[in-house]
Amino acid sequence: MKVNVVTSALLEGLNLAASAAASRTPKPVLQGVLITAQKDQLLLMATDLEIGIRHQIRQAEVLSTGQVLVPVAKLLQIIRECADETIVLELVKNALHITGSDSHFQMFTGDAKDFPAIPEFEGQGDFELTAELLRSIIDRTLFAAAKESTRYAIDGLLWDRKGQLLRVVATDGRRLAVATCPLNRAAGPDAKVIIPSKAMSLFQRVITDPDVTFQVKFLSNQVLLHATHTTVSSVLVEGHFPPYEDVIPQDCNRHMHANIAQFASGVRRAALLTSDESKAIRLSFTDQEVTMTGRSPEQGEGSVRVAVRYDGEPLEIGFNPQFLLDVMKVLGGDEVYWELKEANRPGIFREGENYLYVVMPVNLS
Amino acid sequence: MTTLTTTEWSGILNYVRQHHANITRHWFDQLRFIGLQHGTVDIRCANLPQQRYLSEQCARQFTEAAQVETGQLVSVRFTVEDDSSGNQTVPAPDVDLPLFANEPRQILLNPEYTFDQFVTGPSNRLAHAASVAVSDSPGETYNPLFIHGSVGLGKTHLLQAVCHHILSHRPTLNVLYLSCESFINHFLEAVERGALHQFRYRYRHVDLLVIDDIQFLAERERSQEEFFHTFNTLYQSRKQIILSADCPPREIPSLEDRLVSRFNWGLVTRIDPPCLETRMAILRKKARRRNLDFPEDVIRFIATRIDSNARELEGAINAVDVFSQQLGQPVDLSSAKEALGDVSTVSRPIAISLILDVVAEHFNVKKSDIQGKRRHKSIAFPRQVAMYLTREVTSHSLEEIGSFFGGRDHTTVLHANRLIGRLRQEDNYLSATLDQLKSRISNGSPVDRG
Repeated sequence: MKVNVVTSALLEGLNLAASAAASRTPKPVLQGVLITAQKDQLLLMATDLEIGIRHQIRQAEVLSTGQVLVPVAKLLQIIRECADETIVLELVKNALHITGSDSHFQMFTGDAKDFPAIPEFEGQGDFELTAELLRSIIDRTLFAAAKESTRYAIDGLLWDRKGQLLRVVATDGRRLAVATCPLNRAAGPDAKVIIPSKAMSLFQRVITDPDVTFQVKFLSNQVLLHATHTTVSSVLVEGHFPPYEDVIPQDCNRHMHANIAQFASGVRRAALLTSDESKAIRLSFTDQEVTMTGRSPEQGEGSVRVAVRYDGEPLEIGFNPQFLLDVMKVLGGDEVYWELKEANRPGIFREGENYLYVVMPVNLS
Repeated sequence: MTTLTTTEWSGILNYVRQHHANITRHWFDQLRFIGLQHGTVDIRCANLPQQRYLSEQCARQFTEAAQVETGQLVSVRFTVEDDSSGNQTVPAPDVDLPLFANEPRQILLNPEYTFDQFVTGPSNRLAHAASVAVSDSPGETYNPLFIHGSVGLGKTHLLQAVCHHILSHRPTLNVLYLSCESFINHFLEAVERGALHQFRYRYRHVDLLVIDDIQFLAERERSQEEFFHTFNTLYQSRKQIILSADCPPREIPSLEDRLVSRFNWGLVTRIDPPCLETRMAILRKKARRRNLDFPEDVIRFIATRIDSNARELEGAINAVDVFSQQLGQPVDLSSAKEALGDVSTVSRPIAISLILDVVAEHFNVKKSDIQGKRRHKSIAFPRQVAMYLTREVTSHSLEEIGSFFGGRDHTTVLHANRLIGRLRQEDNYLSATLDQLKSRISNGSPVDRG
């Protein structure tokens, strides 16, 4: 195998491969990237057996075909530091030679036969999403997914497709984010699957070109995401996702509108003096303003007033400030709209029909 | 967050009664809380009409109540006892069982290993009492329960007895009993097949996890890490964990500290070799179970002859029984003597671990310290004594001795040997001590019985 490849394209591919490969594993082959030189392209593959990626590089001149398996982390380091425009990869006996204008590296290779198969994308997807839509869905939900794998069935995001409508739901037991988007073209039966958070982060990383359209396909226990040069595959999480529709309160009788920048700044400042164990700020709603108070037993306390339009009885309610700031970052427009009920009932942020975020208050007493 | 306390559950019912009196029915008292999994509270009702009423009319009110009481964003689901409708069943945590090809669906328990068949005595009373307490209220008394002791003393028997008890008294609980080796194999298989999610689901959603011979986790770094997370998940959701090993947690070699400290969290209890009376009771029970009529003097004779563990006692019963059958006469003392003639005359090879026991006991230091890296005089000296004695009474090579005592070089052993040899000549007291230790070693007991 001998290839002359554009360094930046190779670097981009290796970055993707590195995020799919396993970081710690008893099987060293899973820490590798399988590089295949075909007639007119270079194909990179990596997997940790739960998620996998296939990425094609066209900016390559294949002088002779072949296949090589090398540890992806090291190769990535070598290529990242390389200043040349193009670089030559050549397999000689059992070593991959990486030759630049002023450098020459030899890496020992693994046995390509041991590398597991990674699914290929074939035919048409069940539906498609533009890069912009996909990015917005992930940005608005992934942060609300459970971080640790302990409550495993929701260590993933629900993709609920009914006809021409896709809903992506994330929850960690204290908050829930639902992004909805209409689909132009949808085939296949309705589906409800749970996609691991790690796969969603990889989806996020493959969105480099805003003009690309992604094909999504659900197989029995897998999901495939495909754009021009890249296919990401992931196993689905088995288990029961909580019935999220029941979680969303329907009877809110307090409504708040505020300027998003002012509101976020208020939350940030009120949170400055809160202690780590009682991460909560108190919000007191009256007619025209909300007073946000943070208190730390060791350090002191502070309060910030923010002008709002508030409709309903006065209310005192506590929230984890981080949970509020998280959603402020992803809401579009200038205004934030918040529905509340009682001090012990969840509040809902809504943005039109397409996004909602339910957050549980914190007990202040 | 996978469980509710009784107060939270009654709080939910009270909330519904107070805030939604219009939907409350008198039979709400009989609703039972089953579990809280994946953010869903499972509530069990008596029949299908009740279930339909609850699902259609009350889901929102119960969700509201559950959220208020738990402070979490949970939802509720209603199930019927022995549900035949098929659409609203409790999630079956064993859906992924076929993942592990060689795992039987039913856990394999020895039907004879029940509490009834367990003979208690001073050597195992605490372990037995703890096991009974755990099986009566799993997850609430001693968690984790860690039972350790040498082979054939009844660890597996107690572990399985707990499983039997829980399976027959609380059939809804999800019990998982397996050997540590199966756990490691399942883990490797799951890694191999990219099925870690299923693996975690399988292990982290049981109500009772029982793992036998946990010492095999030693040296298994990744398995230890996985087990650590499994342990934490179960512990946090107040699920019962029971473990057994052949030594206390801190003496399991290369077990991570965080696991050691967790194993010590609940109750660590030791089973000692049975005393004479217990051995006799065991023999009587085993003989009765097999419908054998052993006179009391034979029982006493066997119990005196064989002082190690229950398995050897069982073997002796077999030997005596077969012998008397061949002779065609009932079992009596003389036939028993003849049958067991050779048992105690065989001198067993001295195990290097026994020497470690004896020396650690005598100098009152931890075995793990002797096998460890510390070179403090209070530890180095007992270590040198142990090396010296090993050299004297066994045929192990210098390399073998060195590696047993903390991976040391053969020259270290040689040095210890020379040093203690010289001191012995100079110091009468040490010489007497060494003789005493040697006799304890050949008696096979760390504590001086004389």
